[in-house]
Amino acid sequence: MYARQERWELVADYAVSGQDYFYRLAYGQVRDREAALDIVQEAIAKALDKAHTLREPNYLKTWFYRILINECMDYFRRNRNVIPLEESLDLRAEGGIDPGDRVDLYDALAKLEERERLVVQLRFFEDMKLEEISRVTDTNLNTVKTRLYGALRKLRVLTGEEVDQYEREAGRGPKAL
Amino acid sequence: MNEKLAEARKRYEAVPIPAELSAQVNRSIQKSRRKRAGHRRWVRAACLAAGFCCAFVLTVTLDPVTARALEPIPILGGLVRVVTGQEYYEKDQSKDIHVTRPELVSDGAGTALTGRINEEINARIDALIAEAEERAEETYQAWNETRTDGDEFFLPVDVSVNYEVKCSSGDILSFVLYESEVRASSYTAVYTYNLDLTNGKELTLRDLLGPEWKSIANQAVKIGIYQRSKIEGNVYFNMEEFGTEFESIEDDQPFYINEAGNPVLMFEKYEIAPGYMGEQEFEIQLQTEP
Repeated sequence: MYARQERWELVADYAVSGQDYFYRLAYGQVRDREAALDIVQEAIAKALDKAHTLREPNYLKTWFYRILINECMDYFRRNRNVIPLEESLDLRAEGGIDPGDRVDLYDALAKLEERERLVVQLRFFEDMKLEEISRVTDTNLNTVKTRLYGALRKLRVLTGEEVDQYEREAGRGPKAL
Repeated sequence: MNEKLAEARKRYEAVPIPAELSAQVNRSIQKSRRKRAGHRRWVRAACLAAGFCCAFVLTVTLDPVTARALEPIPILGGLVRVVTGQEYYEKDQSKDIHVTRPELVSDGAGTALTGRINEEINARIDALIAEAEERAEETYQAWNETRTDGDEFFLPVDVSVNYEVKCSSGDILSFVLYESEVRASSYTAVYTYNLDLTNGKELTLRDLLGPEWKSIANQAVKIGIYQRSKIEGNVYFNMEEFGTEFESIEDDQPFYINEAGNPVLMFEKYEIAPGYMGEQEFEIQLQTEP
């Protein structure tokens, strides 16, 4: 069994080595430099505080990402009154986008609902398996799938492309949309 | 579509990392470290009438360490030893406490002194245990409130108190008292007693180093850091890499006195260097009295 007193250090060392990845994930979510910095800082502070709750060092990444993602979601909760409305307006305005004027997928992601954006990020940019996503987002597997496919449908609309290939990429997609 | 995906991933990965991130992460770690240990750290020094140096270190650590008996110390014409006093265990769902109390014993002449020091030690340990219990309960409650599936078990907070003698010869009796507990802390907070046995007073760095004690100590640490940094694998916090570096010792920087009679400054893990460097100690060579 891993000595308890070493866990804080383990988390501290992980924070140092993984900081760029944490920032990237947070930035991908909130698309705001200062907010992403705040989120990473807060996540690391909480992780250090809660180091004793880390049961199994092998799950350090999952454990930490859960905290980091919670911070991202907290950020959205704090800004709930503003952001979802804008996003929904954006979606509506650009829903019927001209195929000749396709939005880049990275930009299109910014217009998704945050939890949908997150699941796409984790699946396609962080190479997490759906089961892992389920664990780090504290969401059951079916909900993860629903969000992923919902996100892909919206991306198809926003980028003006078919997303069938994403479905295959996702691995566990339904046979038909 | 895969191309679009790959392009998006490239943009995702190409997000510039802010220059201040590294320093910020480091500050968070330092802040957390201080939060754990800072409020519990103090330095205690006392001097006794007689004339010898001994340092004893009282620690609260996660690892039970058997209390070691001191070599007999002559005091006020008598002998003073440190023996293991009361041992104390307490275990429940939130904590696992093991305390080994050191006790100064004298064969007669030093009774008043040892009695006073023992009272101080006991009061201190009682306070430490009470605080540790309170924090353990808080931690347990907090865990209970925020637990998620997979967090079935709460590992009780581990607390242990023990002591260590640094020096048992010369004119000074010096011992350091540390405290740490719970929250996976890997360092022991330092509480030192440095006793001058010739006059029953507490020894401070000022007593040992003179009015310029702080700059002398800082210089010794900076030179020590510089020298140790030359060794492959040794890294201390520095502005360039970490955005922070050692500037000055604290007013209550813990120190003990070693057998050579020199003060040894103690730094906790993460205080002046990355965690893997562990706790750091710097000895200050005393100038010979003119």
